[in-house]
Amino acid sequence: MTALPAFDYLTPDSIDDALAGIGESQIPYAGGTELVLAMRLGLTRPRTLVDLKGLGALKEVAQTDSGLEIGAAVTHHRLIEFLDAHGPYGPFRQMLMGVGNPRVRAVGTMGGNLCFAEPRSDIATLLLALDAEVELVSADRGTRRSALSSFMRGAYATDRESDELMTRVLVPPPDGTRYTYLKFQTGVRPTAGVALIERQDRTARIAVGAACETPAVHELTSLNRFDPEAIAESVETTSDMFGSKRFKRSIVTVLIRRAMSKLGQSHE
Amino acid sequence: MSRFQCETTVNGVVSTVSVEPRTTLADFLRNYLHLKGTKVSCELQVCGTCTVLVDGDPVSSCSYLAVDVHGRDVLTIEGLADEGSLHPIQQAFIEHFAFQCGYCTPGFIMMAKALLEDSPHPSDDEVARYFEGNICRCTGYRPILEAVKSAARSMGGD
Amino acid sequence: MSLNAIGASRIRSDAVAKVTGQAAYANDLIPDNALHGWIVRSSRAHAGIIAVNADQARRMTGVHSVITADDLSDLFPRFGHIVADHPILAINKTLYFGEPVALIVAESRQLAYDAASTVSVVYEDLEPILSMGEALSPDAPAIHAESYMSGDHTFAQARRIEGTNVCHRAEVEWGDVDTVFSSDVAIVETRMRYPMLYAYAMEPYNATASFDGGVLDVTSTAQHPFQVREELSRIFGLPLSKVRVRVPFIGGGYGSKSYTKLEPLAAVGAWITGGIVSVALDVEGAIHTTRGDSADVWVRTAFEDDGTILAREFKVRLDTGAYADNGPLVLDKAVRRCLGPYRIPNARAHGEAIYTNTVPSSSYRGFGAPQGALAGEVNLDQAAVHLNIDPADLRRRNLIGVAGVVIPGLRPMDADLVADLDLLTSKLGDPSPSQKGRGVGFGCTASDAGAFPVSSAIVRVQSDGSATVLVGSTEMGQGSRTVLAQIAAERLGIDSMNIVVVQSDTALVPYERTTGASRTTTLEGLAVMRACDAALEQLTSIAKEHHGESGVDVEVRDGHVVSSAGSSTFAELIKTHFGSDQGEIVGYGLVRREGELEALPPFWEIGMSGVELEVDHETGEIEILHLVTVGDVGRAINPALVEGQDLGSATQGLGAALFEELIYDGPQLINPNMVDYRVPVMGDMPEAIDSLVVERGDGVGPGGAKGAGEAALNPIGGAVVAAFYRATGVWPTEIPLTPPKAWELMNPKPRVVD
Repeated sequence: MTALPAFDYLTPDSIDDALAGIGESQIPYAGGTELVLAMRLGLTRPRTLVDLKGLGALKEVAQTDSGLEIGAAVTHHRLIEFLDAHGPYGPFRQMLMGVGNPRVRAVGTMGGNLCFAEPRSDIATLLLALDAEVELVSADRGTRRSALSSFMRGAYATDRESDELMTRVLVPPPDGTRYTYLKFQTGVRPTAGVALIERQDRTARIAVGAACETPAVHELTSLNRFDPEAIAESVETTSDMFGSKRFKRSIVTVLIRRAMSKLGQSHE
Repeated sequence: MSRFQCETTVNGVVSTVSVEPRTTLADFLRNYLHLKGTKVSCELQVCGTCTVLVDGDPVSSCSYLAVDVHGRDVLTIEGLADEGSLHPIQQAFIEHFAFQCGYCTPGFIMMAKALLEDSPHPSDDEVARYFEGNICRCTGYRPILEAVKSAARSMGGD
Repeated sequence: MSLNAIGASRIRSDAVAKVTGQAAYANDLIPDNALHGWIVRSSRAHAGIIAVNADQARRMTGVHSVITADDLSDLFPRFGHIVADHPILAINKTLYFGEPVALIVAESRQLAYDAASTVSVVYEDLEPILSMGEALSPDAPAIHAESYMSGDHTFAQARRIEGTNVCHRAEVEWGDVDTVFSSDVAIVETRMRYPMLYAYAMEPYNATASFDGGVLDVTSTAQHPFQVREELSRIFGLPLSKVRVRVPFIGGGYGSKSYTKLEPLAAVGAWITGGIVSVALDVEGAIHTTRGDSADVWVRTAFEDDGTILAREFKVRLDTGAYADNGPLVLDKAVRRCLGPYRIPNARAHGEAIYTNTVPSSSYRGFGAPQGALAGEVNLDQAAVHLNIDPADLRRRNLIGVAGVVIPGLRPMDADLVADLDLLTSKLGDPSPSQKGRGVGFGCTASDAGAFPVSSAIVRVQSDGSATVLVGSTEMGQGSRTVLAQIAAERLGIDSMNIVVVQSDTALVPYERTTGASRTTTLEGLAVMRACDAALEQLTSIAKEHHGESGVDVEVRDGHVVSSAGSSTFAELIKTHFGSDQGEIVGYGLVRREGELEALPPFWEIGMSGVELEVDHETGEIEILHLVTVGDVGRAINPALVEGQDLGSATQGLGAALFEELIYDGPQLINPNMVDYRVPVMGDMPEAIDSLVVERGDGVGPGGAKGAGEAALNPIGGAVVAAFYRATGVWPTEIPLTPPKAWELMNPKPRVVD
C-alpha cells in the first residue's frame, strides 16, 4: 500500500474557524476523492488538511426562485436525491449520475469538483452552459460571487485565492430553457462532453468539455444555423492514448448532433 | 505531525484509536483494528476492492481518511452477518459461484448491500451501472450479476 | 446418496471463507512485529549505476537497513529458473525503468516509503532499447553482456544468440514449405501485432520472510512454491530441506505469479536485518514486476482451391523485456501453437524472444497461444474471403481429426475438434448477419498444455473415515481446493464435504512442480487418485488381515471395504488396526512421465470461442452482443467451475481485444495504473453468454478429464478482428481495437494529393 505524505488535520466547526485555518499549504477538503489521489501520486503535499464536513451551512441544498443553491460540501449523491424530488433538473441529474462511480458520488462534492478543476469534468461543462455562479468567502474580503466561466482558469487552476472558501454553487432556474448533456467515455474519465441548451427565444449555447483544458462555450443565434463541425474544429485538444485530435473532434461533432437530436425529442 | 483521536463505531463496536491523519481507512481497518477482510488493490478508487460502508454509503477505504470516520458508523464485510450465519447476499454469491480467487469479493458484496438498500429490485442495466467501479478479473461478471439479482429476490420477501 | 464427487457442481470449499472476508491471503498474515520493505526503483531504462546515495535514509529513525547489490556478494545474487539473469537488486546496471535498485527496511511501510524518497541514485545513461525493431538492428548494444545458464533438463535451455538481444530461439518444421510456396498455389499472408498486457491479478505481489534457526521461511503469493524454494535454496546456499515456502489463498494469478518474483527481496531483507521482513507491492509496483509478451507475428498459408491447407509458415517475435523469466518457454509454446489445430503437410514456425529495456515479461494465460492465434486465425478468415469459402467450412476442412497428428512426435489429438466447432458455430449463427454494423467471428486453437508431468499427493484417511488430502497445488481461484476433494471423494467413496485439502506449504505437502498450464485437475488429480488407491490398498489389506479373508474377493465400495464376509467402514478398519480411536492410513500417489503420460503433452487444451459484435461507425465503439465458448474438457469434475474459468478466461481475451495495452512513451510506461489501463467491467459483458461444456471422456485425467482454464481466451482476439471486418469491411492489423483505433480504421486520413 502506497503511503500518503504526512500532514496535519483541522476540524473547524464554523466558517470563521475554517477561514482562519486555510492558506497556501493548508487545503480545505470535504470528500477528498481528487485530493487524496493527487497526494498519493505525489502531485501535491499540503501541510494541513482542513475538513469542511463539520460545517452544516456548506451541506445544505435548496431550490428557490433564483434557482438551485448548492452548498459546496454537498455530495453528488445527496444532490441527485434532492433533484429526484425537485424538478425540473432532469438532464442535470442525469449528468451527475454519470460522474465517477457510486463511491465517488457518495463522497465527492460539488465544491471539491469545481475547485480541483480536473479538466475532464462533466460538472464544469454543464454548469458553464447553465450560467452557474460560485460564491466564495474570505476572512479579509467577505463574500464574492463569480461566474463559473471566470472562476475556471484552466486545467487544475481556478481563481480561488488560498484564503478563500467556496461556500455555494448557484444554478439559475431553467425558465423554459431546454438542455441536455452527452458525453463520450471509454475509461474512467470522459474523452469529450457536450452540453447543449436552447433558450425560449431560440438562441442557444454549446459547451464542449473534457477534450480541452477548460470547457469552451459557443453562443448560437439558432440551432438551425450553425455548423457542428466548425465548433468541433475549434476545440483545442491534444492527441493522446484516448484518441487523435481528429478523432476527438469527430466525437465532438457526433455528440453535438446526438444532443440536438435528443433535445428535439425532449419536453424539458 | 500531530495525531488524532479517532472514535468510530465499526461493525457495531466502538473503537478509539490514535492515528496519524494520513492513515487511510483501509489501513486503519486492516492494521489497527485487525479486520483483514477489506482488501486493497488499485488504490485509485476504480476497482472497488476496498469498499466499506460509512453511514451506509459505499466508500473506497483506500482513499478515505480514517479521521473522516470519527463519530461515524462503519460496516465492513466482517459486520455483514452475525457470527456463524450468512447474509442473503453472501449466500447468493456462494450459490451462484460469483467469485473465484475471492480478492474482489468483499468489495462486491459491500457494494451489493449498498445497492439493494437504495434500489431493492434493480434491473440488469442498473446493476451493471452500479458496478461500473468494481473490477473482477476472474469471473467475467455474469455470475456476480446473477447473485445480486438472486439476493434481491430473497431479500425482497419473495 | 450424493458424494459431491466427480460431475457435481458442488459449492466451493473456500466459499464461506471468501464471502465473509475470513479467507487469508499472504498480506493478511504479516506478523505484527514484522519489518517492512519499500523498493527504490530505477528511473532509467538502461544505465550504469554509479552510486546509490542513501546516507540520509539510513539515519532516519525507524530505518533498519538500506540494502543494495553491494550487500549481496556472499549470496548467489540472481534468480531465473531458465536463465538466472535476473538480479535480486540491480548489479552495477539497470535494464528497465522501475527495476529494483535498493530495498529500505523499516519499522513500518510508511517509514520505509518516506526513507525511500530521500535516496538518490547516480546513473550513467546507456542507449535504451525500447522496441524489438531497435533491439534487432545490427548496431544495437546487447542488453545482456553475459548469459547465466541454469535450469534442469525439463526446461528448454534458452538458446541465445551471443552478442545480440535474442534471448531464445525456437523452431518447428516438417515437410518442405519452400517448394510449396514457390509453386502456383493460392497464398494468403497476414501480419498482426499483439499488445503488451498486464495480467492484473488484483492482489499485488507480496512476500514475508524470516530465518528461523537456519531455516528460511517465506509466505508469498507464488503459484509454484516448490519452484521458488529451489531458487531461494540456490541464492542462500541452503539445502532444500531448510527452505520453506508457504502460499495461502492467492488473489488471482493467471500465470503472472508463476515462478519467483518478490521472494528473494523479502528473504534478503530478513537475512540482512535478522528480523521478519515483509515486502508488499502496490499495483504500480506489480506492473513493473511482470507483464505479458507483446508479439509481432507474420504468417503465410498456401491453399488448394478447395481450401485444403498445403503449407503454413510463421515468424513469431516476442518482446520478453529486460529479463528472461519464463519468456523462453512462452516462445517455445507460441511456436508450437501458432500453427493451429489443422492438418498441415508442410510447416515451418520460427520464433525469437527478444530482450528490450522494458518490464520483464513472463507467463500469462494462454501462454503464447493468443499471440499466434491472432495472426493464424485472422489469416484463415482472410483466406476464406480470398477463396470465397465459408470460414467455418474452411476450418472444418482442415481441422485435425481424432487421433490425428498435431506435431510429429507429440501426443495425437485427443479431442473431436470438428464436433466442437459445429457446436460453436451453431450457437453463434451466420458470420455475416444481415444487420448493418454487425459481425460474427470465431476461432479454434489447441495448446500443448499440462506442462511437465511430475506431481504427487498424500491422502490421509482419518480414524473416523474422513480424509485429508495434501497437495502442492495452489488455490488462486481456479478451484483446486474443491476439485481435488471431489476427485478424492470419487475414489474413496466418501462425501467430498468431509474431505479437506491442505495446500502449498513445502514443509507439509509433497512435491508439485507447478500450478499452471491448466494441469491441476489432470495431473495433480491423477496423483490424488493414486494416493487414494494406495490408501485403499492398505485398507483392503487390513480388511483381509483382520477378517481372515486372504484370497477372498474384497472390493471397495462407497467408503466401505466389502466382501462376502461383510462390510467394514474405513473407520472400523482403522480402529481395528490400531486399537481404539487412533492412527490413520496414509497413501502416497506419484505421477511421472510414464505409461499413458509418456506422450507429451498430457492433453491438448482446446480453445473454441466466438463473438457477435456491433460497431458504432460514428464513435468506433464496439459492443459485444454474444459470447460463446466451448470447453472440451473430457470430464468436468465440477461443471460450474469449468464454466466460470471459461468465462473468466474469455473475458480477459475481450480485454486484450478491445481495451488493454501497456503503452511505453520513451523509457517509461505512461499507463502503469488501473485508471489508464482499462480492463473489462460488468457493463462491457454481452447479454447473451453461452459457456458450453463438452465431455467425451477423452482425457488421461480422472474420469477422462483434460485441463481447462486458459484456452477460451486464445481465439478471442482473432474472433473480434474477423467480426470487425465482417461488420465494417476493414481488417485491423492489431489489437486492442479501442474506439479511437477502430474509428481511424474506418476513417483513414485522406491522402495528401501532390
